[in-house]
Amino acid sequence: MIKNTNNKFLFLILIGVVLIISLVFHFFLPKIEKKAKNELIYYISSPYKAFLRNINKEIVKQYHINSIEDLKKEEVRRSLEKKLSYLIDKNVENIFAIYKEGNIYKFLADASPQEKVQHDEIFFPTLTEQKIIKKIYKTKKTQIIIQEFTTVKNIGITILYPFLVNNKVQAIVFVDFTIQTLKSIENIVDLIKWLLNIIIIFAVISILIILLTSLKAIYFKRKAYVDELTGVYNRNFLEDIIVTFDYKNYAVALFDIDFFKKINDTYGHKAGDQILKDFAKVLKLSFRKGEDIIIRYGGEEFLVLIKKDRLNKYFAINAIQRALGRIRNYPFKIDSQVIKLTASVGVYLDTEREKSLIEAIKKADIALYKAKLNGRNRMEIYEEGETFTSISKINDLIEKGNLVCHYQPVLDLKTQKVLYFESLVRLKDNGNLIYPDKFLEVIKNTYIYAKLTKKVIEFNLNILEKHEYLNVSINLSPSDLINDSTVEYLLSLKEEMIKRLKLEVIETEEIRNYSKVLENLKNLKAKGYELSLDDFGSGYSNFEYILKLDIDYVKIDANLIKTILENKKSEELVKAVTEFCKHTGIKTIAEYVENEKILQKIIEIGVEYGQGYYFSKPKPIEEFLEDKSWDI
Amino acid sequence: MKKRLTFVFIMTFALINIVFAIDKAKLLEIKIISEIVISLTNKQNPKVCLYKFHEYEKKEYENFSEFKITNCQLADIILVKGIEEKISFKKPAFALDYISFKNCQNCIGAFYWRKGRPQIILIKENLDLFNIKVNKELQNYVVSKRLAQK
Repeated sequence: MIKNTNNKFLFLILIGVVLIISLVFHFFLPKIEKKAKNELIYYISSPYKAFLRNINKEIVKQYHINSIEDLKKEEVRRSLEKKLSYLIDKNVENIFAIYKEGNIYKFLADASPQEKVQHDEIFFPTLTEQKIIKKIYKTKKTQIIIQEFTTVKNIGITILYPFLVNNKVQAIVFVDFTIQTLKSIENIVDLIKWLLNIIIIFAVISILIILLTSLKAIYFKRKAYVDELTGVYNRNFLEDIIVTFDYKNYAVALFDIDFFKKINDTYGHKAGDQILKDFAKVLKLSFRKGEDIIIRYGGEEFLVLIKKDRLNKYFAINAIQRALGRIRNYPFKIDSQVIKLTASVGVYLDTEREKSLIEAIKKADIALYKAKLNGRNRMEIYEEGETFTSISKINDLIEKGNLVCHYQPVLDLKTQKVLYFESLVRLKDNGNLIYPDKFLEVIKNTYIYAKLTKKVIEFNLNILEKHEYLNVSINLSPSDLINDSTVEYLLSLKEEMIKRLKLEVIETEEIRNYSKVLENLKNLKAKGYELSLDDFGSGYSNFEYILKLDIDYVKIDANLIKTILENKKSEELVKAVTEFCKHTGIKTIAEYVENEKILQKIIEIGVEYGQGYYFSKPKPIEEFLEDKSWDI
Repeated sequence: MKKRLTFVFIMTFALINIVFAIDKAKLLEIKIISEIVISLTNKQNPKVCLYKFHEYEKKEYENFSEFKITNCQLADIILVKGIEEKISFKKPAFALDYISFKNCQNCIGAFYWRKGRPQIILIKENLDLFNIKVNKELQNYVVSKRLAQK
């Protein structure tokens, strides 16, 4: 497409150049020709004009001429003829003077080398000359005529000089130049014209050659930039852009087809080539055309430069994850046989930290190596020097199932009986626990978050299956509630599990698709889930849920409970929420019940359920089960 | 041999060009004279006597003019040239060179070249003598005998 556009563009330029040249030929050359001719005639006639002026002055001064009658005197005529004869050279055919008598012109003097005419003989100028003579009588200025071949014989150019006496035209001096003089001028003009034509033709040919060479160069460069097999860019392209490319705005991902060597060894190189073609096709489908750049980096390695999204740092990760999913599901064909493929990806996001694209690619390559070491079919992200656990590590731990849920009971404040346990996830890393504050922020807005939610649900389902009398809750963020696979998974659970699995809606992130969150919560509620609003009173959306959904529990925001003893407003607000919930049939839960005093206060206010360190810290469910003091 | 052939070819080509050029100028002149004579005689095919003309010139007029070439007794007008002595005609005569014009006493006019320019002169008194009316186009060339210095 780009190639076609360029071709069209160059074709238009070619047409443009040809048009301009044609215009130059059509309009400017005749003008240049005329100007050159006039300039040459002016150049040739100038000394004659100057000489005629001098003769005019001398005659008038020498013979005290006052009128035409003075000029017609024999002595004056002879002197004039003599002086005019000085102008005779090989270029001059005739030189004579005429005067006007009535409507007739007569010869005054004739200094021509041949066909000498008697003075006072009648002379009829040509029609063109008659017009020019009239003009001279008016303007008193010398005129030049290029004679027409059809009206005069052997004369090319004529100078018509006004002989002035007392600033009045009394006679006209004709200097006729031979036709050869005009032809010489025309020959010079023709030569100039010829040279101009040669220059223009040379210029046109040069421009055409330059354009064609450029076109050819673009074509071959493009050809040299594209991998013939896969149709994506090749390393030549990378090498050419490596210095100038604005890599800091791109995330770098290196894709490697897992066990490609086996395909080549088993099915042959032809099959391998087909796989590479299809693999490139899947990559093209997975990334944005015109924004992201796909380069065949090595045999089965593809480098993808993904343009960063300013609003979402992990946009590239999600795109890569989608590409990996596509690769896993794509029916790669060898002859008629369908095979499944996976790929390993090394990603480097913080390219702005690097001094060059090469350095960024190196980091992605290190991450790719790690992905291969960790069993392939995965993505590894190169990160360094972070206070948070690295995203690739979190992903790795989640994928390996290295997570556990701890539980904190929610108690009926009157009976001290456990209503349910809230599950709180922790990651396990070589025997150490990683708490949510170290990883939830990192994976927020990424596909890993959804993956984690699914693992948490699975973990709790396992707990519920093991312990039939337990009820648990899981926390769902708005991003979980707009994730179709998470919601579908929850909707697909058995009725018995749905009754015992409560959903706590947390308000921790910006919600872009609010209506979808509400719609999915309605569906979940309709399916039988009990819904609990976490941190009620901390944000606007909770009120939206209260108004639009049939909520079962409200967990009063921990900040209100924490300050309930010293802050009267907190107490009043808790009272108001509790009162409101009683009237609307919603059960209230107080979080952060830290001590006896807070407990007494919330009982006094009328809060029905409580949760907090005063009762228990979050811990593995087994510890609660072993401790018989708990009324579960 | 080859060089000679080339020389002959070039010479022939040049000669043809020269002849053609002469014919072109001559034809133009015959055309102008024809128009003047037709206008003066007021006849489309005037009978014309070519006085002191060469035979080849007569052929040219026969071929390229509207004239009926005849003897001077039958002619409507006499075209004269090469007259070096004073002479008069009983019929309207029209000179084709300046000397003949000067020597021809009762010529009604002349056509000749001066300084490369075509000159037409018609003498008023002589036109009147033969009762010849001149049309508007030729009126500009009518001059008196005095002006024409005849």
